[in-house]
Amino acid sequence: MMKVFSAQVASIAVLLLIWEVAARWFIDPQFISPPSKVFVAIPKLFADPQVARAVGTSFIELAVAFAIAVVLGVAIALPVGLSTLTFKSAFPVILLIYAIPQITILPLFVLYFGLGPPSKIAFGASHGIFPIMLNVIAGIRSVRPIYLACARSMGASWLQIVRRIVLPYVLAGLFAGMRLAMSVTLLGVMLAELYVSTAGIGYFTQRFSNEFDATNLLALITVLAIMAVILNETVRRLEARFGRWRRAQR
Amino acid sequence: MAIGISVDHLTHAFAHNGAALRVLDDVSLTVTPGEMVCLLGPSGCGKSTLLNVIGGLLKADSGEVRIGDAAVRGVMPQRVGFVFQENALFPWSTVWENLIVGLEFQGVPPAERAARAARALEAVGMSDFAKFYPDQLSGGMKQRIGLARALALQTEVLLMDEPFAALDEQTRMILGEDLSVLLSETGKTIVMVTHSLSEAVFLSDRIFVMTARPGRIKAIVEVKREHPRRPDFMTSTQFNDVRGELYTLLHDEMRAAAAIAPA
Amino acid sequence: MTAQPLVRDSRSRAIQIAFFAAVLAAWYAVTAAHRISPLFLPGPVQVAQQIGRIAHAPTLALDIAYTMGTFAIAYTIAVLGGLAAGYIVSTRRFLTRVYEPLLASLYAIPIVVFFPTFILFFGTGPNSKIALGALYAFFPIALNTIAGFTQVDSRLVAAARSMGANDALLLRRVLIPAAFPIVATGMRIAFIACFASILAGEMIASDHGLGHQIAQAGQMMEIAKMFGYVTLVVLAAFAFNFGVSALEARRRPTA
Repeated sequence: MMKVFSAQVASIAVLLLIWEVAARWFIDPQFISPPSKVFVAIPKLFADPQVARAVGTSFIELAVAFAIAVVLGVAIALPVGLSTLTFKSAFPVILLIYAIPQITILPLFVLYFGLGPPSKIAFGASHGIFPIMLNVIAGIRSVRPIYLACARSMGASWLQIVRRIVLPYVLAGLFAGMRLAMSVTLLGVMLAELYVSTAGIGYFTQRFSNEFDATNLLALITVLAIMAVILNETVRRLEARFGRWRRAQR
Repeated sequence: MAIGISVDHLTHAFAHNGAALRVLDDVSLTVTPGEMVCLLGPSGCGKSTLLNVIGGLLKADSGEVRIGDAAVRGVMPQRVGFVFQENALFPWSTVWENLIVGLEFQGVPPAERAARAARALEAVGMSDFAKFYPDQLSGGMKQRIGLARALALQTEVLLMDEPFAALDEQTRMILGEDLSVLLSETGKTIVMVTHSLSEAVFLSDRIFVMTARPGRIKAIVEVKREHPRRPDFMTSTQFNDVRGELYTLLHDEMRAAAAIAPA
Repeated sequence: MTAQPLVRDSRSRAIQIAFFAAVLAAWYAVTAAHRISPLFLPGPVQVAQQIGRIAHAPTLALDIAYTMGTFAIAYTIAVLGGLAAGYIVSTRRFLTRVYEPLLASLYAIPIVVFFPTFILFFGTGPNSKIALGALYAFFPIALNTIAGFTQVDSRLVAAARSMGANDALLLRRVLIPAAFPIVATGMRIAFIACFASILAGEMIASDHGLGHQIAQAGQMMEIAKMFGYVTLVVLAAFAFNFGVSALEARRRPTA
């Protein structure tokens, strides 16, 4: 266990070292900055209230987008999954829409929702909704018929069946899709932010790029990257905690 | 207060690959109140289908089933309890919650649920396992809980669909002995589906031997021995005779079933 | 146990067709009646006209070549790098335990956040997009290659060795076929990720390419033209998806 961890730390250290050496002595400082300078620049960068606000706004956008993705995703998944007719009709359509590279309609989102947070939220949500929908639908479709037969034989009403039998599967599906949903929602929000360079993160990446300010650019990106990793880990742990009985069924 | 079951001229077919697959062909039988009977037959003979029709989970194409004096038109949770073959316990709930939920479905008032659940668990000897999750239990234990859940419903009729099929032989024997003791105390009317000859002889008063698909009642074999039956019954001459009789009746049906089994 | 009432496929098919027809009709009706500004939503006729115009535009070939060329290079780099890295990591349990979690964590970062540094480093030319696409595609290939090779049933390996297979034969005849489905899935995911990320890169900062055309049309408020380009790209994506599915269906009839 310790051996693995130390190997990982060592690998990261080696990469940082290569980065440091290459940036210091081999590459033009306009294009890349060594980690020593970058890490020092991080707190200074975030002392700037505008930068902090831009990053903060992005994460609020992420939270809202994710919430919308979950609520809408489950809301659509329920009728699609519960009825065989709606499933056969709607599911292929959902898959078809899923196959569209959403990046191509990003300008439409900006056109319809404006340059501010709403377009980022909408674009993020439109990404995150698919893993949620697909996983919840799959969960509902995988309800074992014997549980339904058993509940019916004991006199369960339709409502009781949904509450006591379908709901656990919905939750299981939700947790199964949650990590991917978080990942792509973040992607959607980041894409939209970078596309719109008039404010927010996109503004600063554009500015630092134009000014050949590699240090601050890398500082900003490093923080975003680290936050993404932390976010992913958090969701992964949540999924591990609550996904118990589904794994036991396998 | 046990009630009887009567099945009249039941016929049923399933849709399979476009054609109608007849699984039950003019099946009739009666079960007297308080009796324990087995439906014994080869795979695919329709015995599970028959059980589901009796319990109201399935509506047959033609024929009628009566439980007591009432015609069966759908599920009757107040009169009929089911024990299923595969594990039908909800894996996301504890043993206790599984029992309580069953009572909730049946419409038992919340105040009475705990007492009934506790008694049922005690009857199957699983009181210590109330807080466990199904995946923490062995196969035999899970089936005890399945039985407890049905017992808690306090129905007059108990329908059991190959409850021990997924268990190893030793567990089956133990559970069979316990079941015999338990059921003789409750006085319920019980119909059990099985493909184990030994089980049928050990547990039942009468055995309905079915043919291969389409299923018909080929013969009715009686086991005249009072309940509860002790383990030494299994080595008695009577046991072996009845078992031999069943084997003779079934052997051709089993061969026929293997030949016509869909690929 | 209980026979399910079969929902006829024809019924659901009819609903789907009716749905699409209704959407198309609504689109036409709403735009023809001038209820929405054509700057927001151009009508289907205008879009069709634009598609026609684009198809005849001299720059189309250049843009397609630019985008597809960038894609081809990026994808090739990702495949070679991903397969190699993935295979090497999969050969030893220790390597897998060390690097698989690291790769999985890195994959969680939306690679697009690194794009500004690529622009800084490579400029707005194709190289920045190649770097983006290659990096995006690298992870699913590497991760799936690791997964594919590590899940090969050890009994298969034992059986092959007992029959005298050397390392090369083992690789060719046992490991690669066994790992293939999972690796192939990774390559498919990577294909889509690579294509989408290159389009994204072109939209954010580029001088040429299909993504650039889409973004530019959007910024110049030539919405019908933008719709036209988007439709072309989407149709191409559908065609590709359909083609791959058809290929898969033919290759693995038992699947």
